[in-house]
Amino acid sequence: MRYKWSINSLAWLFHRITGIVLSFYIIAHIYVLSHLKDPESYNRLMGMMKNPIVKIGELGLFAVVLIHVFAGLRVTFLEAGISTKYQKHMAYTGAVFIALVWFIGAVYFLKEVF
Amino acid sequence: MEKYYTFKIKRFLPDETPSVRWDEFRIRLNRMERIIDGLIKIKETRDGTLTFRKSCAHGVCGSCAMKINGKNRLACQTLVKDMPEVIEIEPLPALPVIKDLAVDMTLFFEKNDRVLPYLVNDEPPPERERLQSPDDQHKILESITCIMCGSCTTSCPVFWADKEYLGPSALLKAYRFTFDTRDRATQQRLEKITGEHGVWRCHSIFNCVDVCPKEIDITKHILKLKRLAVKKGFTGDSQ
Repeated sequence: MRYKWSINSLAWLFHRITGIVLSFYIIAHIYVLSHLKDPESYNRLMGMMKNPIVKIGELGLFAVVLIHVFAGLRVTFLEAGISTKYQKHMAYTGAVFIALVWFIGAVYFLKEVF
Repeated sequence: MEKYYTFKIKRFLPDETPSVRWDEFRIRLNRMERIIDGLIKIKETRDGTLTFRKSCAHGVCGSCAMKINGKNRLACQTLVKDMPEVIEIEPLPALPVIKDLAVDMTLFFEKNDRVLPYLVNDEPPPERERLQSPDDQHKILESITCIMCGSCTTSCPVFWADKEYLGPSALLKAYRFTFDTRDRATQQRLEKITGEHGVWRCHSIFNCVDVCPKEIDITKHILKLKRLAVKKGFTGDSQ
């Protein structure tokens, strides 16, 4: 079914999708970490993390986390009683913050490799 | 100023195969005319079998809610000048279609019935009427303006996925009576709306607020109901 999207329904959709992605990521994250039983395997993994492709993947993960956090904050504010009059403003401001923090973070992330 | 508009209408004719098809009608309308005027013109001059609901045509009865260009609106409140030249018209989403643009609203009204949509007060009535102060009236003023057109509930993604969900319209009705200072059935009503398919299913998507022809901030009311439910100890396992 086709239905017109707006900033509010997109905020909800992205919140949902990033939530699902993060829950899968956390399972994988814990699985990998729980298999690091000695210093060599730890160092090998850390070496792999320096790979530029992994770095770009990390940037993606960073974006997913940011979207989830800011969408969650918006919902929390609304539930806590901040006027729903500002829900669209909050979504737009959140998008600006996501872009800003992601950009600053990306500079730091990539500084390590390049 | 008159202009040609193309009405693309999603038809549903249960006796024909295929039962669903898109019909196009090119009609000349004044820019200040409404979608409902276009539909009436089509029915009167092009295709008499076109079916749609219409009663007051002035945004009061709520009969002509339909999906116009991807968004639920009242056909009598939407001017063609605000629309592109090609106007796509579909029935309200997520409800069974009877014919063309007329949907079966039974499910929608059943949900309203579930929230005790009437004043409950066992105290003996005063000599004239149960009085309400202007301040108390203001608490429910916005929710009273609901015309029950069904635009909100059928625009809600939660309702698309869960037909048992009470939906914004029924929850707004619950608010209207729960926050009425003359009403005494807060506990019973909160019990009805805090179940699995009740108020907690609202994820503040605001589709309902976007489409409400009376510009009611429905999500605001649902959030107030949520806060009241928490305050009164209803946290979701009562049904």
